[in-house]
Amino acid sequence: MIFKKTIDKIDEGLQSWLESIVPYTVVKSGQNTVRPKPPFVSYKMITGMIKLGSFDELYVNKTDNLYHLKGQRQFTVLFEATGTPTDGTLASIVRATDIIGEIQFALNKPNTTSFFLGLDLAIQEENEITDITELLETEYEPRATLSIIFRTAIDEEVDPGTIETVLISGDVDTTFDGNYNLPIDEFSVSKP
Amino acid sequence: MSFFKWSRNGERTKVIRYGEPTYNGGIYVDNPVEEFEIWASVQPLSNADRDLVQAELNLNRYAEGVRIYSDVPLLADDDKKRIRGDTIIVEGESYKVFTLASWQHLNLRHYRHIAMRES
Repeated sequence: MIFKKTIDKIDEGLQSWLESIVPYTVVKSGQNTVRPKPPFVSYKMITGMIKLGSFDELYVNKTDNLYHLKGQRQFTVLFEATGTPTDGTLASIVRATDIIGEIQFALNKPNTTSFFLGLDLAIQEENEITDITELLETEYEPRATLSIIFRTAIDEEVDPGTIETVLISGDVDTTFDGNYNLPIDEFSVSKP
Repeated sequence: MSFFKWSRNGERTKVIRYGEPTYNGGIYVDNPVEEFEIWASVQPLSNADRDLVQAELNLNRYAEGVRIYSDVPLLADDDKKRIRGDTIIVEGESYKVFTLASWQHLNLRHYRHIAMRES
């Protein structure tokens, strides 16, 4: 279950990264349940792990059969912020675009880069902040989104098994007439 | 005493009520706080109910649901108020309450709810 393991690790990482940036509730979106009290931030992967290039096969060492199958993957994460409308004062407004702006700004901080490095994540592309304010029942609710394209590598240790013996029986014609003649009666391979 | 106790089709229906939503690491944690039983009349959805379900909940017309009459108001799912609708148990199946209509102008005051089956 390499994908589940990788994506769970990314989710946990994004959660703690967002919690360190914004002073609001952070949730994984699409949970089909009650949402938190605004303002809050949600995030979700809006693509699967897109395969880039082909796999690398790297052996652990020459004596061991194990090898690592490594491949690059790309995916997009959508961050969505929900703000709160005014209750009559400018100070009471929490703009969703401001929250998303904080997230985008934090992408360029050195500690973010090192944090993502620890998660094997590289930021590939940042898209625009979009205001998607919507009507919720009777009032407009400030919302904004930002999608970021990340790249990562998946790595799984694979044991292909070994061929221990190869049995070939038959007569070898030792008279050389210009062609090698190796009639084989039996060819069998056994695995450990 | 509940009228629904004496009505021909009244029955005891189990209700599960949830508390304030809590999140652990960004994941919603179920928070049932109360279980109780009410007298209610559980009926099939009407065509008008199915129109409502189709328009408001984006479900298909044949989604399984029930209409429930009781003299106790149940909590209906509400995004704005951040309320998770009560779950009612009908014939062993869980249904989530989505709408609440108050019929308080009649001599027999009661509430009408629509609940849809939870997965």
